[in-house]
Amino acid sequence: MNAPFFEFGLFGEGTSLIVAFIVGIGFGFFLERAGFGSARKLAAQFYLTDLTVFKVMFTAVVTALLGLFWLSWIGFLDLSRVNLLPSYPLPQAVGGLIFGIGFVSGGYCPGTACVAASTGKLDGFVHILGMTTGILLFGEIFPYLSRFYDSTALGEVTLADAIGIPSNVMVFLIVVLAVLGFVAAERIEDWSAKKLAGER
Amino acid sequence: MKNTNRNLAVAALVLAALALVAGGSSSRVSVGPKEFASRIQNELDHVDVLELSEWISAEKEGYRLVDLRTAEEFNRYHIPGAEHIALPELVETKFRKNETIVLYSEGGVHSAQAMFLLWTKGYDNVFMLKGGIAQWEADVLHKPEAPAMKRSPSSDSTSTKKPLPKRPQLKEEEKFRREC
Amino acid sequence: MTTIARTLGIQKILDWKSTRVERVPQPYWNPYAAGVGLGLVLLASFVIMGRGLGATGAFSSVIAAGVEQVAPDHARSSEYYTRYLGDSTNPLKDWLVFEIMGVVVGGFLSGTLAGRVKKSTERGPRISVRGRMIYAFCGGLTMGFGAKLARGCTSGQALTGGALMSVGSWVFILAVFASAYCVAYFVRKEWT
Repeated sequence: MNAPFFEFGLFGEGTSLIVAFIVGIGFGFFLERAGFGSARKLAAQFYLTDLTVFKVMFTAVVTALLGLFWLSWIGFLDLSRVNLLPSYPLPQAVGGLIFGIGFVSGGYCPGTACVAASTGKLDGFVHILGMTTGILLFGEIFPYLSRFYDSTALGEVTLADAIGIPSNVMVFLIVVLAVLGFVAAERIEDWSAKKLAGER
Repeated sequence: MKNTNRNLAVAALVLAALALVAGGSSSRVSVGPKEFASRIQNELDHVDVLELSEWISAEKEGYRLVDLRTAEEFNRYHIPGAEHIALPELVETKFRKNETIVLYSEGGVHSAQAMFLLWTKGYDNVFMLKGGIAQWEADVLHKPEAPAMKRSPSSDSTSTKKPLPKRPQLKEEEKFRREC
Repeated sequence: MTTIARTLGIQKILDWKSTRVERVPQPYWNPYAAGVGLGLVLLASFVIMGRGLGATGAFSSVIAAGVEQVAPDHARSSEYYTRYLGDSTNPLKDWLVFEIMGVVVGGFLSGTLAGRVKKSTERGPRISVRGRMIYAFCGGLTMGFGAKLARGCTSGQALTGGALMSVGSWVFILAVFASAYCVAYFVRKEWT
């Protein structure tokens, strides 16, 4: 086991901040490559005309998912040291619903808003201002929300644990579903294009 | 581009199918014998009574304290916050995967053995209380003004790696900082 | 090597030596290739740091630091901000804060290379700049609030939590898509 390198003490906090910066560069780079600096492209997902959001997101998830599985399987990566996010399904569901409203009306998510701003989109800057306000608002009313915020604390649970199947089976299922989703996405995009062409 | 996409999809499906056949990593013990030995040698497998008493007075969360003795002994006295799980039941108990567990018994023998048992079951955030309840009674119960905790001898100088395994998060802020 | 690269659609990465800074906006990458790239970055983060990506947390840290500067008593008595300010470390010395700075640089880099850096306002054909800005602000506000409640956003929960198969994260993704699709109809004037 050699990885995660940080957890095995290969470098310290200071270096980890530099790592953060470099990882961030890669992150922002590929977001922009995909076209996520454009709110129009991001929003198009929800009008079924351009499903890039779905394709990029789930390809990324599948890539990392398979990577995590195999690197752990060969004994290189110690999965137990990878920080699994704790699950709070109720506030996360409600938060997700609210997030979705904001996503399609604002046109960005936090990461893509930064990419948009860095490529000159003025609406990206305004979006960031709005986001800042939203976070401030949350902070201010947090005392009233804190019980809800901490409700349904399931701890670190994976889908595999919850359903009761082994994790490798879950990995397989997710990949298959993703690929099927991609096939469907291509069909939907073609259908949308034809529909638009027909309307003209 | 269609070709590339098809190749990518095939690659993903092949890797996923292989994963299905390969078997889960959950069935493999994540920590091996060498690691166990290293932890024991570097005394990273135990918690001091003084350290534990600090955790308790700080009302630290995020760990489970397990008393392995008999029910009568537990009822007579147990360390605050401990739960009783006798050894035979311990191996049947399903803990959460990354849960931090501190075991104690009369002295150290049973808790060491139990810790090892749990390690082989794939739980590796398991510690034992050094000296057991005997040490606790000596150093904590009967000496309320115990001197400031001396660090375990080898945890700083000999180990070049960060202390392993991960200790539970101490403060709320740390939990928050791990957020996304 | 080249055949493998072309097969995986990442020939472009090997062509980087011939990259020039474009003037005319270039077409976007194949989404699946971009997704693989993104996934590899995410994987690298897991392998190097033992954690995934994120974005919202960076903003929270900066905001907490800001509130502390402007209204220190309020910040320190707030149940929420103290979670970021509690100990003596500077909240800005945070992994996500540095990561998000990298995101800005990375986005700019990619945009510059592809000729896509331009002062502009993204909006649909039927809405004015002013209208778009109002939506951007309000949408951002809503989104930010939702992200805090959900303990993350698409980067942290959807990508990171998704790859880790965390239950709450998948619940989050589904909720986002569900509500966005429902609300899309009501904001169609903004985009279509």
